[in-house]
Amino acid sequence: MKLLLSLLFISINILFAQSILKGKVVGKNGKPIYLANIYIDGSYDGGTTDSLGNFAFETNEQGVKIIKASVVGLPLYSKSIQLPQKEFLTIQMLERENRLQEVTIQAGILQANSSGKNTVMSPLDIVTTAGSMGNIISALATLPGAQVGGENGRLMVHGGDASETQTYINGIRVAQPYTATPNEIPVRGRFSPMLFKGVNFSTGGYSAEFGNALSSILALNTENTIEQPKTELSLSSVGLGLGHTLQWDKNSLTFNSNYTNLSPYSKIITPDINWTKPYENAAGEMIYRHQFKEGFLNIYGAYTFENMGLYQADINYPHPVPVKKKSNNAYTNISFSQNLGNRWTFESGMGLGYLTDKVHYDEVYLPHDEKSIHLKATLSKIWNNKIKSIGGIEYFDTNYQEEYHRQDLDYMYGFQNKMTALYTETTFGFLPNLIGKIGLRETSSNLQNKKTLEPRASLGYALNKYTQLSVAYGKFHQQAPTPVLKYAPQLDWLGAKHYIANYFYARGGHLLRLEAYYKTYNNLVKYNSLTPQYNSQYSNNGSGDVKGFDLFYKNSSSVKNLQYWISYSFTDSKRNEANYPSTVTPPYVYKHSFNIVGKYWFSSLRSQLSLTNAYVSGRNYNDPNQSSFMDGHIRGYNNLSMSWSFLFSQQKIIHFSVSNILGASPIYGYQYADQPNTQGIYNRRPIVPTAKRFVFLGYFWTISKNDKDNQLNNL
Amino acid sequence: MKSIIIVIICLISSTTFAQSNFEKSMGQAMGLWQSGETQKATALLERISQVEKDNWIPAYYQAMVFTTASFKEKNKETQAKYIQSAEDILNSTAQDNNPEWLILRAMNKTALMITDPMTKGRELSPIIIALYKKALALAPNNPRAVLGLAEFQMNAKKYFNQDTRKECEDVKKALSLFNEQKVSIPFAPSWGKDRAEQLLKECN
Repeated sequence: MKLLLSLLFISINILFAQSILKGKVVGKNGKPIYLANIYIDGSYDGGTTDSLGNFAFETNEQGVKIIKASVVGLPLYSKSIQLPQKEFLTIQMLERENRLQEVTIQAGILQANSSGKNTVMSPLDIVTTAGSMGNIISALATLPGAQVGGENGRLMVHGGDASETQTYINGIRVAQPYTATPNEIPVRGRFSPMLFKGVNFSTGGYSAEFGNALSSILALNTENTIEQPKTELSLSSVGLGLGHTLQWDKNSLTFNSNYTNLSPYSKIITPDINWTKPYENAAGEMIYRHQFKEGFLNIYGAYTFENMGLYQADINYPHPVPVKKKSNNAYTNISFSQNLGNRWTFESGMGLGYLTDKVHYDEVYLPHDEKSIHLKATLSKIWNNKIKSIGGIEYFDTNYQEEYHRQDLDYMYGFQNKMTALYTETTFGFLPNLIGKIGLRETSSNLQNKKTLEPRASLGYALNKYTQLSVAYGKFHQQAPTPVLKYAPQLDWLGAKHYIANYFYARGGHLLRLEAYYKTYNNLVKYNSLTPQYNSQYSNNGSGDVKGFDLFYKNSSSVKNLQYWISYSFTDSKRNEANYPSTVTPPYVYKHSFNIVGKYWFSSLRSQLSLTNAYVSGRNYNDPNQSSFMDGHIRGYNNLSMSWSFLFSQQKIIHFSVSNILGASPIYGYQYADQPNTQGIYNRRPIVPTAKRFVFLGYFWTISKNDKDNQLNNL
Repeated sequence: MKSIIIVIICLISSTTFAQSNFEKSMGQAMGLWQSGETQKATALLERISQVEKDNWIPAYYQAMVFTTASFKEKNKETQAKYIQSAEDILNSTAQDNNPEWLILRAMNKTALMITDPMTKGRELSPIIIALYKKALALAPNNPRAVLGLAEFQMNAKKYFNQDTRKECEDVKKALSLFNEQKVSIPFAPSWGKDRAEQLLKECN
């Protein structure tokens, strides 16, 4: 028996003969890695490295085994070794192979996403930026490179005019991104910022996936997740809203309705606008989302009715002119994405837009309607850890018709535009810190009867974990803007070339972004009348260029509960377009724009105070009484806005906001009479804001389903 | 005969050895965790997890250690790394019908939310509540699910000076459930009683 026991012991000892494994774990640069986990695959034997990267552990394993090393942020290391191993092991861990994610190209890109290290703000920031009044476009105006004309509310980027920016939702073009307004009253973005998880705003050099825009793309993306059931109510000084979300299985369905009426507001706050029918807006939205096993479907539909009437000053008329506008707009956006496996992804979408606009201007009746279709399909493939590609095709069909009626004068004009584009783009991760992107886009249209070819290229280089340098180049084309194209559909493509260099630094709560650019324009539209008209002569003989730089700094960590950003844009734009006799700085460009946005959260008051100070330098205007063209300069102006959000409870928010607190009186430009008066002088009228301030008071209430039983049934 | 005995003994001893190895290593990991050695604890749990492929317990604790460590971590980058590491583990295996897993997922989302409540609260808090409620639907008497949901809602209500009586009742219920709970498998999650007692004190 003793023999048996001793035999047993011996056998156990042989079976579990221990050996010691020693070694060191280092990174790619030879530096030791602290706290790497090192072990023999399939066994408990292992250890962690000390601060010098050394490890030592005992093991009973024998023969050929796999040794593994893991550390957060690096790929798993594995290698087979022969045990027992007496030699000192040196393990060198590689960098993550997935290089495409390491560097991003920052040139021409500003992101406002919920997460991600390269994002400059979150969608919530858009709503809480003072002065934005929940309008995406106004919030973007506080970012570098963007300007919004006070008189029209439209987004202008890097010295381009408002027609040079296109808006997309989930990759599908939005034909009518703005609300309808009479002249000189700023428009708003049609869509609520809370709809979007990501806002990608391009200041130029954008992807070959997008076209028909000379300056910029605003790409809005909804979230690809099923929404939680809730009911939302809002009540404000200008209207009310009601929303409800249903959710079952892998589906969610949201209804939103909004009604805005400036009638009570205008009686109290802005009695100086002479409304005959204060602005009224009724809008309904529907969003359906469905999660497939490997795909996602998002259907968005919206209908908006707008109605307004007022008396507006016009220098060419002795009395204020009666203006009426009634507009109906329907928009559907369907997007579908599917993972095809083997790292292939298919995305497709359709956009349908319908707009009718009936405008009365004094004796002129000017109805127009626009029907548009956009179809798009994109295939993307990740070839390996270094190369990924996209390729796609899209088709646009736009039918625009306008009528002009005045007494016995009647005209009809418009265009039908059928445009097809093919695009492809490939991203190469040459080195872990170097990325390149090359794209090509070909567009053809029945109107121009010729093809355009647009090469695009960009390069990103990471100096270190926090700093990136990038450059972008691209050729861009666009059809003449609608106010001209409707009279002269045969006009050739307008062209632009972008050269952009960007420096991006993000660390902790600090973000610094510098961008310099040079942009040239060719084939710009010229005409021989004061404004584009039915019988003007049009040509593509215009040209121009823009040089400039942008600065953006954001700090969200130095002072607790405070975040602020500063942005400055310098824009030096020279163009010969429209009816200019020579190359001048156009009247819509602000040479300097400077914004400071600050937000402070008062914990004890459960409130957020937000202040925005926006300064723009003066613009040019042309005085026909002077012999030199476009030689007038208007003073710059400052606008300080404030907003206060109070969280009454988790679900109840009170929001108060005022623009132009200091009561500045900006002049956006001058309207000169078409004809000189009897003394031979052209009279003028300053273009000023219709209301000095805008005051908004709103109450927002979200009711999540609180009933436990019902909630459980829903899950 | 002898050889048969030896073989049998060896088999028994190696199986008991393996058993105790799991328990010994888990115990060791718990010790490391208690003494604040986050990285060493998670490393050991990772090693256990890759051997015990069919056992969710080591991975659970690995994610748990990362998540709880993130609550205490001051360095923002390390904190984000902890939360992300825990999330990666929670996503790596399909445990959608395991209430303990769902509760831990809710805790992980809570950790993420409190890094930036102003930005993330609106998006994450319904998700967190939904996770707790799903856990409760699967296991209505799981004390950690009852406690977790009650605490989450309590924190929100306290902030807005609202009445938390209902949540306090739930904490009481959780406490009685803690007293009844039986641990069926080794190292099955059983934590939370201290937390419930502490919360109940704040109720009065």
